[in-house]
Amino acid sequence: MTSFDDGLERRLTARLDERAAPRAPDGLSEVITERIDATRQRPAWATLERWIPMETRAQFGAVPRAVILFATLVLLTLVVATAIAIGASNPPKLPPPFGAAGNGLIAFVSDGDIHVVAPDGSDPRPIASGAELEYLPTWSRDGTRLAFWSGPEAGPADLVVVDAAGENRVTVATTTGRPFSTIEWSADDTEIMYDAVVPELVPDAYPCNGDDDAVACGSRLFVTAADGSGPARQVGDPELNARVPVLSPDGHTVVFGGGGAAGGEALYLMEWDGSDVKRLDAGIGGDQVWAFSGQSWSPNGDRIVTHDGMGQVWAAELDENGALVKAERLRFGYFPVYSPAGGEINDGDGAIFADSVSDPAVELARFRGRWSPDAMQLVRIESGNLEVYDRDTGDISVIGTVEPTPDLTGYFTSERAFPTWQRVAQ
Amino acid sequence: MRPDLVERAMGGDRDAFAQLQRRSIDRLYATARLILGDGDLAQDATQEAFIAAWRGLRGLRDPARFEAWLRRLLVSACYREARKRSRRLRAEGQVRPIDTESADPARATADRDELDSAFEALDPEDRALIVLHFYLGLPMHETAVALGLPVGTVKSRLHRTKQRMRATLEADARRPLPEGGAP
Repeated sequence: MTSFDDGLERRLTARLDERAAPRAPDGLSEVITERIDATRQRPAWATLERWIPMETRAQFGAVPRAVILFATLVLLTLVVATAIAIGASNPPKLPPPFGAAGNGLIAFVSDGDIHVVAPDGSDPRPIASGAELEYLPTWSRDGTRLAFWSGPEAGPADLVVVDAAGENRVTVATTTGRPFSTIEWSADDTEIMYDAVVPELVPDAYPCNGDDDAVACGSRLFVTAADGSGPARQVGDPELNARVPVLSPDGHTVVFGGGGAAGGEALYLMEWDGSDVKRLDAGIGGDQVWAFSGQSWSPNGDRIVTHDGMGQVWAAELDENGALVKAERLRFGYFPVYSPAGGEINDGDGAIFADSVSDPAVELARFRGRWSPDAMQLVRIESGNLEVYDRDTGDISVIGTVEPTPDLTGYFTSERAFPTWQRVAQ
Repeated sequence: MRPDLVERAMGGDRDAFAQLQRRSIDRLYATARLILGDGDLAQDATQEAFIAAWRGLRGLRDPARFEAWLRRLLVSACYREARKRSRRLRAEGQVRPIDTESADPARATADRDELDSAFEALDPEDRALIVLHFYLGLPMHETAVALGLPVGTVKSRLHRTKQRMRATLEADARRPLPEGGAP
């Protein structure tokens, strides 16, 4: 194939050479240099050339912009959809419902509202506040929600659940009398068990004398859906005073303190749904109405520690069927709580001691607080400060301040303002 | 272009970039001037090309391709300047011809006039194509990279552009010369 040569290309080249400026105007180079001195280089990743070479871009240079834009939008949509699909199929890692876990946020009551703070004291913020007193914050086992009571300290209250950001507030139950002391999440976090006084069940006889504010008088156990989808239902023996339900690490058995109105208090076991209630005849003394108002399962579920209301901490050892093997008095104290890792117990007197009858009187350390999920720290409110205790070093760090809540300054009621620790995946 | 200078400039060495700038500014300005036909616009385009090069230099994949990349940036800057001028002239309600007098005030022959007229009648994209290929002497694939177009597109566009120029030249040749005009 030949082409007609009319000399255009040759003439054009010659003419352009003639017309071209021999050199750049004076001062242009200096102006550019000044501007460059005032200009920062972009990081490599911010340059298109880094990702798509100009040779490649040239290959698509003839494609209309609208087509490129449309293709880019389609690609972005696919990427976003894929990311959502991957995110949905890989939900955030959650901690197991029992045993040791990672340390998340600390929730506590300050001036009648629920606040949270990171364990290092950073990012403190209110997470739930309202006109009513809000107390007893209790994280769900997976750490994604927080339940608490909202109402006057000595009267009926709403059981409220919010998510970890304080959003999506739902009232899941309302009591007719004063809530007692426990919010206990089910193993799968779909239900909550709580203890509350039923005013019409408070006997006129001693020691209650019709006082529905008296400890443990007329209290019953209830279970409600954690998402508010159904009404609360009373569970367990309807004739039995019941308080402080604590779920075993297998997620099935609940231990609680119970008894008749006139004494004879004891530990009881039942299933989560309230069936199969049985008294644990452990020979543990406890005719005080506030006996068995603080119990805790060992992490492997074979022991329960409790207090008898007369200043003694007891351990009840169970066989694999949940039958009592033996009960033994450990030491002076009350409100004992197992470390999430086991082996150690912290009690309401502030003692940390070994879970052993060999010499439980020996205090390993002294700090009355709530165990961190990883069992390495404890947290408490002391003199208006939020304090974290390091179990290894014994160091105490002040990570924040707390405004007192006038209604929660009594010996028992202060428990309701206590900080609790969010469980997260390790 | 010395790759070592490019690599130093990629590392943020302003002196190295100044050397690169000195080596290429005359050629770049001349190219912009031919594409835009306007000295002021060419200065602006040259400035913008160098600033863009400095900003994005860290992202250059191959230091040996610096010169080609700079040409690509210059062509883009020329297009932007041409669009700005076009918008400004439209806003002012006037159309200013390309600055041929300042480009060559001493034009002496009708042949040159006709060639210049044919060239100036082209739009900036086609002028850029002509300048890159016939003035800078770039092979077709380098011209394509500088223009950001596939080689096939550049070839066909070059063919059409030359045809348009020929048509213009033929029309000028058929037009009777004014009395006393140049032979």
